[in-house]
Amino acid sequence: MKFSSLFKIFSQPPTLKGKLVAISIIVLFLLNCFSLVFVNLAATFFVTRYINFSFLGEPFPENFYTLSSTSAVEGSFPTPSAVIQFVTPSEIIEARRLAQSTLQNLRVFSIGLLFFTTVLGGIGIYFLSRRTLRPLEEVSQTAKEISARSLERRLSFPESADEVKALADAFNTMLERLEKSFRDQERFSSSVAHELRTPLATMRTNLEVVLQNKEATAEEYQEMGKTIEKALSRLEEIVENLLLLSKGEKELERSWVFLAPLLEEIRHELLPLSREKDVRVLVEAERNTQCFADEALLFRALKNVIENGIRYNRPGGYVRVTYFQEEEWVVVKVEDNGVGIPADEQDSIFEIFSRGAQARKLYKEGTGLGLAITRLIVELHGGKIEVQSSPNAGTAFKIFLPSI
Amino acid sequence: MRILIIEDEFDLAKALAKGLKNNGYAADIALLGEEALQKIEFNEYDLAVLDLNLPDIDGLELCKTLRAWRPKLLILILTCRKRLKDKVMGLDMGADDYLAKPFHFQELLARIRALLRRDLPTKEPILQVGDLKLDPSSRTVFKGNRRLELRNKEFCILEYLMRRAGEVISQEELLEHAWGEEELDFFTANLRVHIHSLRKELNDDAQNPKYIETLPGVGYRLKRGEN
Ligand SMILES: Nc1ncnc2c1ncn2[C@@H]1O[C@H](COP(=O)(O)OP(=O)(O)OP(=O)(O)O)[C@@H](O)[C@H]1O
Ligand SMILES: [Mg+2]
Repeated sequence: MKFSSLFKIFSQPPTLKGKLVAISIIVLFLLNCFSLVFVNLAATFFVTRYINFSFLGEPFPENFYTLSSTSAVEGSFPTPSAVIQFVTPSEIIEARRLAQSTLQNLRVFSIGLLFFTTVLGGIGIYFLSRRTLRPLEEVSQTAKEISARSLERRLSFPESADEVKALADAFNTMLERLEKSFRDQERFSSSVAHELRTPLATMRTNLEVVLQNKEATAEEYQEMGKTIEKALSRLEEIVENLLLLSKGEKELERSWVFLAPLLEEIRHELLPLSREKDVRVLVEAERNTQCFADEALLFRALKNVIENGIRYNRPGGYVRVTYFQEEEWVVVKVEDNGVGIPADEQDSIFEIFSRGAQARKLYKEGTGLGLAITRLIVELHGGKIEVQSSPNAGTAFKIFLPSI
Repeated sequence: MRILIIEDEFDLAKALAKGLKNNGYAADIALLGEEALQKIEFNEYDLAVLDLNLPDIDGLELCKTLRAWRPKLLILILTCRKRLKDKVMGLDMGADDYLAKPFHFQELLARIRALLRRDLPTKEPILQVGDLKLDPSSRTVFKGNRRLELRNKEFCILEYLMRRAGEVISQEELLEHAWGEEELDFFTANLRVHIHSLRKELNDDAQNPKYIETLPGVGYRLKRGEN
């Protein structure tokens, strides 16, 4: 029927289906050949023996009966004792000729049958393999159609439970993971874009407004310069932090770090801020605690948390830092009695660019990257960070670092 | 024409207000959604430039509220979100136009001019009343072939009168639409001064006006000159 589609199989580079069909046809052909040879040999043997026996009284071999069917045992074949006849030479010749032509026919017939079954079997195999391999084609078709824009598509094979189904399932779970990481990526870049565009827009508008004004005074230029400088520093800070966020584990430069001097340094660096906000930073020193960490990154991680405690606080408030060994962890606890975090914001504070409503008022210039960076650094070290907070009462962060 | 800038980035809002004032608009700033609602309640604005990303109210919600409150207010959305969905949502919530940040200030001006044209009977970019021609984009006014030298406020007043040519405009209305909040100190006296110098520039006679009529106790009217 579809000659062209048959033709196509041979013109294409070998597909799984093509290979399957070819191998099956070859095997079928060889099997048929064997049976052809066997049938012909057996027929020759049997006919010769039969003629010899019938006409010349030569006995059948003993095992002939066991080879042939039961009907032969029961006597439809002439048994040795039943055959006593007189035969002329011409009859023998006639009988041999008859046998020859029968064998000839058999040969022609069986060769014909060989080709017939091979072709028929081949066609059968072709359709069978097409049927079994169709799901695979669907898999590859869907895979081709899925792009970054249509990651929500899935394969579905409800009817079967075979290897193809297993493949489809594996494929689907892979798609799920891909989709999730792709969505995360998308969210990340769209929020990055948002955060970068705001200072960019400020810079551009300020520039253009002053440039457009032919009568702009030196004062106006001055003011523009200051505004642009401010926006620029913000951009720099965001970019700096984003670069920090793309750090991988490989880049850690670990050494043994004593926590006491590290925290003292942080406290010292935050002194101007804590004076301005009138918030005391208390570090309860414990001389011997150390952990195996990247000093610069650990500094950054702890500073972010302590800085938050100062910023989201009230005048006269405090931030208390304690640290101690707990089972296999070194725990650093940063508590404050500041504004606290409402329950509905607590889940998202570690995400990038997420900022609380209170925080926006108290510290307008914040980027919302601080805790995301802290969490990343802590996790790169194999640790974890937890938060407990009650609004208007205070917040406690617990940072767990592996002690070795 | 009076414009309200609703934008939480103070430095951006300030620059926008300044730029708009330089271009003959009266501009006020609202840094929060709440503030914007208050200002819209008490003042008459012709157009609002609305940043979608406000700390207190969702920008799209605010857009919807403004639209419901002030059906005639023109709304131009500023957004950092470049996704198609946000633009479509914004327009569907009643905004008239949008612009993605960062934008060129020139483009913002052009879009504002285009939006302000919408309410006019003709969509001509140049306003024309009698032999007066006002081009909002180059901010030039011609009387016949003579170019008039107008100061910002005079231009602003004339533009408003020309947009509403033939209608009686009360002093309050003129003040509302030509003066920003911070400028509303000297009030009517100030307005009279400006109308006076505008007439002088137009070679108009207050007693027998060809252009600006004074209707005592009611307001002003720009004559639809037949010439
Ligand atoms: N000690 C704290 N008390 C109250 N709220 C806090 C505290 N620490 C964090 N938060 C909340 O978590 C949010 C995220 O904090 P994060 O440090 O990541 O960003 P940020 O402080 O807003 O900005 P920056 O990146 O500049 O530090 C804050 O905006 C604030 O709402
Ligand atoms: Mg912070």
